[in-house]
Amino acid sequence: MNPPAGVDIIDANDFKVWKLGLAGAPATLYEGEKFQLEFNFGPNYPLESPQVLFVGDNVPIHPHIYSNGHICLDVLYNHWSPVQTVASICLSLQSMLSSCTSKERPPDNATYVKTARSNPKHTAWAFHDDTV
Amino acid sequence: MDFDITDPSDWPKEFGPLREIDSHLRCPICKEYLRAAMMLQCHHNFCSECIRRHLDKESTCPACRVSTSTSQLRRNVSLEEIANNFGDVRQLLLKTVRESLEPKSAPAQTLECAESMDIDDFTPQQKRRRISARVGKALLSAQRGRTHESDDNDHDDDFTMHSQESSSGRKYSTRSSTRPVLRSRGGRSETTPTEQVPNPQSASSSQTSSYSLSEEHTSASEQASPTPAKESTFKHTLVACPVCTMAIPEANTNSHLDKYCFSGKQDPIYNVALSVVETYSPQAIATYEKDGSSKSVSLPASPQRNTLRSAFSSSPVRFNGFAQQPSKLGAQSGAAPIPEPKRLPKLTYSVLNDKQLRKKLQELGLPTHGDKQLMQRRHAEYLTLYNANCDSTRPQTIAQLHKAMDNWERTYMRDLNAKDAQRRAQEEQQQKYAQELAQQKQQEDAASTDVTNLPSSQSSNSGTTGTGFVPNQANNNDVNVAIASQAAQAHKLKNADNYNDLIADIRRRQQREKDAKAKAALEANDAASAPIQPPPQEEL
Repeated sequence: MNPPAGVDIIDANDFKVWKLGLAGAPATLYEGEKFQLEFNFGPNYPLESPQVLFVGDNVPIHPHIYSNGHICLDVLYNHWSPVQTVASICLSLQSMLSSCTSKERPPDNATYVKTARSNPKHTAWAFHDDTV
Repeated sequence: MDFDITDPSDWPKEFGPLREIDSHLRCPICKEYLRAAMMLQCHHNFCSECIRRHLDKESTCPACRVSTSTSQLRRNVSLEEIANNFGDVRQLLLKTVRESLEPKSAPAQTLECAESMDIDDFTPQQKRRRISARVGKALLSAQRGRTHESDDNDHDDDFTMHSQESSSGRKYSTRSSTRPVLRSRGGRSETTPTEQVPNPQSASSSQTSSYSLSEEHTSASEQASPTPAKESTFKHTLVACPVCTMAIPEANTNSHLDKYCFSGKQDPIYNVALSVVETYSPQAIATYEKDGSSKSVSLPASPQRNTLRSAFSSSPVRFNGFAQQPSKLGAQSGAAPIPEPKRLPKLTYSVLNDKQLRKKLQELGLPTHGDKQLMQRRHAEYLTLYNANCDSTRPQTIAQLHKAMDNWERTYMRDLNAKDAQRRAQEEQQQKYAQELAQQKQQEDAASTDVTNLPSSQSSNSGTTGTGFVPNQANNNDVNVAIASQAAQAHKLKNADNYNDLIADIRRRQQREKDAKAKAALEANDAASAPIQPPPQEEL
C-alpha cells in the first residue's frame, strides 16, 4: 500500500473501517496540522460511496467542514463514482483544505450539528461552491 | 491482512512501464484484472460485471460521467485476452523481473569495483558486503579464508593455479568468487566486463578464470537449499530459465529470455532442462555450459521436448508459439464455432406480480422463496452474473453461476440480518432513551406537584395538553378536585412520551424560526460559500 503524500495509515486492518491521518499541505492555512479521517465502507463499496468524516480532537476549521466532522463535498455523496479510491478522496480533501482562504466554520454549523444524523450520507446536501 | 492481493506497485521501479501495463489491465472499479472487458462509447473499459452493476444504478460512465447505457457496452476481446494472459504469467514474470534485477546490478558493481581497485586497495568489508548479498554462508566463510591469502599478494596466484590443477573437473565458477582473484591482480581485471556480454564466449572466458572450491566447500554448498539464486552461486553458472526451465549460463539469461522465451521460440543452443543437465558428468556439463547442446554429443535431445510441454501444461500459460497446439484455447477463444449465448433480457419488475416473477425464477433454476423484493434482487443479480458471463472469453458453467448465486444468497441474508439487528438495537436504544426521558419527566412532575404550583408547571404546556381541566391548588381541600387532579396527572404521565415529543417539536419550530431569521441576516451580510442545510426531513 502506498498512501499519497501527506496521508498515513493509522488503522486499515479490516475491510469495513479505515482510519487515516491527513497532514495539512505545506504553504496552506493548515500547514503543520494533523487530522484524522474515518472511512466506513458499506457492503456495496465501491459502487456506493464510503462514509467519510473527520474524527478526533482536531477537526479542520473550514467553511465546508462541520464541527462534528461531516464534510460537504460532492464526490462523497451524489457525485460519487466507483472509479474513485481512498487515495483520490484524500487528494480531493487535501485540495479542498488547501484552497481555503479563511478558516471558519460553515455559517449553519450550530444548527446542523444539533440536527444531523451520525451518518453524513443521510444529509441532503446542497453543493453550490465551485471555488474549492 | 495477509491475502494474496496483487497491485501494480508490486513491479520494481526499474520496470515502470510494467506498472503502467498492470494498472491499465485492471478494472477501475474492482481493481482486479479485467474480467470480460467491456468498452463504453467513451472508450473506458471495465469488467462486464462491474459496469453492469454500476449501470443498474446510474446511467453514466464511472470514469468520465458521460451518459451511457448497457446497450452501449461492447466486448473488448483482445484487451480481455491480454489481461487474462498477463494475469496468468504475472507471478512468473514478476519472479523473472526481480531475479533479472539481481545479476544486472552485480556486473555494474563489479565494474565499478574493478576500476576502483586500481586506485585503492579493496577492503575485506567491501568484499563481504557484495558477497553477502548473493552468496550463502558456506561460501562466505570460504571467501574469508581466501581473503587472507589474497592479501598476501603473490600467494594468490599460486592458490589459483593450484586449485585449478587439483580441480576435480567440476568447476565452481561464480562471479563473486572470481572477483577477489581478478581484482588482486590488476592485469586481469579487464576480463570482468566481458562477463556482462551475454554469449557463450563470455561464459567460457569466465570459466578460464574460475577456480574450484575444495571438496569440503562443495559439500557445504550442496547442502544449501537449491533456490535458483543460490544455485547460480554454488554450482556451475547454469541456471534454470524461469520460463522454459532450460539450463542456461547465468550471463545469458536475459538475452535468452528476450530472444526466445518471451517471443515463444525455442533456444537452439541451450535447450536442455536443468534437471536433465545435472544428471550428466561434470565434463558434459562444462561442455554444455560452453557451447550449448549443439556440440555436446552426450546430451540426447529428446527429454527437452517433454519438459517443455509439461512446463506449460501444468500451468494455464499460453504463449504465441504454443497457440497452434490443439488445446483448450480453441474452445475458449471467441473464434471457436460455439454460438455466442444469448443475453437475458431485463424485466420490468413493477408490472410482474409475485407469481409471474416466481415463474421466471423457476425457469432460470433459481430458488423461489422470499418476498417480491428478495426475488427481484435475486433475479437482477443473476441477470448481472449471467450476462457478464456471456461476455467472458473464459465463461463459467451454469452450475458455477448457481454456486455463485448460493453465495450471494447467503451474503444477502447475512447483510439483511445484520441490518435488522442494527435497526432493532437502534430502536431499543431509542425506546430506552424515551423511557428514561419519561421517567425523568415523571420525577420532575411529581416533585412539582408535591411542592406547590401544579398550575404553573402545567401552564408551560397548557397549549398542548388542552384537557380543559386545570387543577387549582386553592381547591385542594376539595376531595373531588384532588381526585380529578390526580387523574389529570396520571393521564399526563401516561402520555408523557407524546407530550415530550410535542414540547420538543414546539421548541424546534421556535428554534428553526430563529435560525431562519439568523440565516437570512447572515446571508444578507455575506452571500458567500457554505452549504445550505435544508431542514432535515424527518428529524426528531
